[in-house]
Amino acid sequence: MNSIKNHFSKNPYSFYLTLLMLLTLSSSALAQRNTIWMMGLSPTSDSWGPTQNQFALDGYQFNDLINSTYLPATGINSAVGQVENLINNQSNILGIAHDYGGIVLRELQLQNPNISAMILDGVPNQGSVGISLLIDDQGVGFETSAEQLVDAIQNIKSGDECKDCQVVEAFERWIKDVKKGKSAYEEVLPNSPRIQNLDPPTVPFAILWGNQKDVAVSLPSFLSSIGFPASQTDEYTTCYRGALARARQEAKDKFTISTIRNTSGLFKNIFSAVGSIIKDPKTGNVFKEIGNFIDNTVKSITDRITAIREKDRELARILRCEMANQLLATEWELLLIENTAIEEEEFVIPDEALHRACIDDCEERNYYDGYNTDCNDFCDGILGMTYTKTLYKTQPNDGVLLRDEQLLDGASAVYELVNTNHLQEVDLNLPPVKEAFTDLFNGNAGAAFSLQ
Amino acid sequence: MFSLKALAMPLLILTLYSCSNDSLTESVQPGRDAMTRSLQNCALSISAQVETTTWVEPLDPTDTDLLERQDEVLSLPKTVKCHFESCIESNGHRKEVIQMLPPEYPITYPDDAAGGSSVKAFDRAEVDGNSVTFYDESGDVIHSDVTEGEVEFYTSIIDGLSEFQALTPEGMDMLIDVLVEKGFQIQEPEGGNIFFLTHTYEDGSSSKVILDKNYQTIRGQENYDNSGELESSHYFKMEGPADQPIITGHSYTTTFESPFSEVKLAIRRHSIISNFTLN
Repeated sequence: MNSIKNHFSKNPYSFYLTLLMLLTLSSSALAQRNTIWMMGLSPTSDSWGPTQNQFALDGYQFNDLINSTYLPATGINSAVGQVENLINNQSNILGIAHDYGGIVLRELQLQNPNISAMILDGVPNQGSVGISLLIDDQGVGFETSAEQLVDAIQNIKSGDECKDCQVVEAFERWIKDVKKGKSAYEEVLPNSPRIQNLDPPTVPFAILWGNQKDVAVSLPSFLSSIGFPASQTDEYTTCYRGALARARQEAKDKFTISTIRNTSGLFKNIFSAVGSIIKDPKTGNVFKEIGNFIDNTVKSITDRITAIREKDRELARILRCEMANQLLATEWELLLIENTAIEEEEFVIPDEALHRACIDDCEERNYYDGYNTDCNDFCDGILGMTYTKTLYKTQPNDGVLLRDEQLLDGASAVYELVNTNHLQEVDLNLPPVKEAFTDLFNGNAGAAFSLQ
Repeated sequence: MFSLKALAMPLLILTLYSCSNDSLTESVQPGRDAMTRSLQNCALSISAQVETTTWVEPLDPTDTDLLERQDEVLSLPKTVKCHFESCIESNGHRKEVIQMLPPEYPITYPDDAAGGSSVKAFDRAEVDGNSVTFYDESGDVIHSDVTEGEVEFYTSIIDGLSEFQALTPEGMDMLIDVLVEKGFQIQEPEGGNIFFLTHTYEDGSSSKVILDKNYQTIRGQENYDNSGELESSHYFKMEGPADQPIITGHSYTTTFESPFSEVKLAIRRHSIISNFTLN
């Protein structure tokens, strides 16, 4: 029997199950489709292992020709040469590739007639702005756009201890990791000669494109895939949500208790005590008695004012941390589309809540200062001028690649992988991924993709 | 007599910071009946709804035209609402339920609007003594934690049901005169109901406490850095007669300098408190 795959070594039980299954099949059914599975800058197809195992167990017939290492990080031309040596003139090969591996595969297909079809999964077919944000430092010593964004976010946090699972720090580590592959990744920048001159495929191909829809948690979710690739749980997102809840609770406990002690505590007691002195003075000099009482209370007053300020600062810290993390996620999304005209939309904010805020503020000022401002008139004027907002439209993306960067004209089939980030695009535990590959391997998008 | 409503006001404040900044979904309420039952037999029970809107804007409105795209993304208001029930037993033990609700004034942005969505921290929180558990919409536990010990504090509230001797207007004037004589910086807006007590710290920063002559309590505090720039402030909105005030609103502001436009921005948070009940 041809070598099924080296990747079974990680799961010997699945190997034996597969072996048993295969032995029960008739010899005519053992005609295996030649495949090559390529993954980013990874020198093996191991990252596809769980996917391959699952489809092998499900009875799909294929043979992975990449059974030893190659070095994609040495550049696309070099990688193409190395893979050609591995496929040894085998014919009717289905290529399956993710990320940078897809560009290697496309170049290989144009040079080698034995590639008969391709599945391009999360591939920067039009080049990647995201990669350029991560690696393009515009000359030695300058920061990349992603690094500048991190600096801005840290600036908002002002050195605060955010207790937010260190999402920004994880993002920073990711930048450093990607930069290690800078020389290879430069070939997939949107304006690179490689991308500009790469001809369209001459065989049937299918596109799978990732779309992580929940922008609010997209970044922690994406970072989870990087930091915890083997985990079935979304570690950063879970941690992030927990941290937010904890932060709220801390803010409530620390800030409000101090405030309560003031609103119902010290000053209330001072008013009451002075009231009692006036009502029932012990001497004939009420003014002096009050003065003595205040002398004994000065430190408590200043301590309490200081404590309230500290709790106000703590709440400010929590708000700044939330703002900073929100901005990191949204600004990254906007940076991804910086090379295109960012679509804008005027959006009228329903102003009931803001109107009430304005009225409350106005009425408080009236109360404080003895003014008699007509708050409805005042707030109608303010709100009428300011509560139309400009919305900036993002484009669906997988955290690294925009939809338009992943698409390629002429595809036999296009699958949107909903709620799937870039690193999850090879994870069969996500239903959209499994459904897309199953559909292709069943031949529903054409016999060229069939593994049956 | 110190009124129950006045006593309940500070407890209401407790929820202002936990009912904040979550996304807006209709929620199932797993275990709610059970928890509500456990909130019976209280020395004091309070419930209310709190709707909070948070947004960012230039501290100086004339800087609006200087904002960069990133600042504008942050400026989108987000509104959330919660219902809470709080119970304090006679021994000071506190039980509390916070349930997120769809807001009365929702602001729904298009799915593809940058900055239009936010992370939902929890759907429901249950506090029992010094432990707190957060749940998602499905009733699954998101996170459990231990809060700071509060029994002593709540016991002191129960114990605080004591005689309150209100000051007459003349008594209030006398107190203010004494405070001035003792070196406190006092400002009294003419014709208003409040006075400011300013405390200056050793580093030149300062806090200005807003004291209400009518309700005879703190109405807020403004904190300034040593260059006189606003650092943060909070205010309570109160309604009702002087001896039975209730808090019906709260606002909080803090500032930071935008790293993109270098404009000083204010994070503003405004809460409307409604359906207040006390048993």
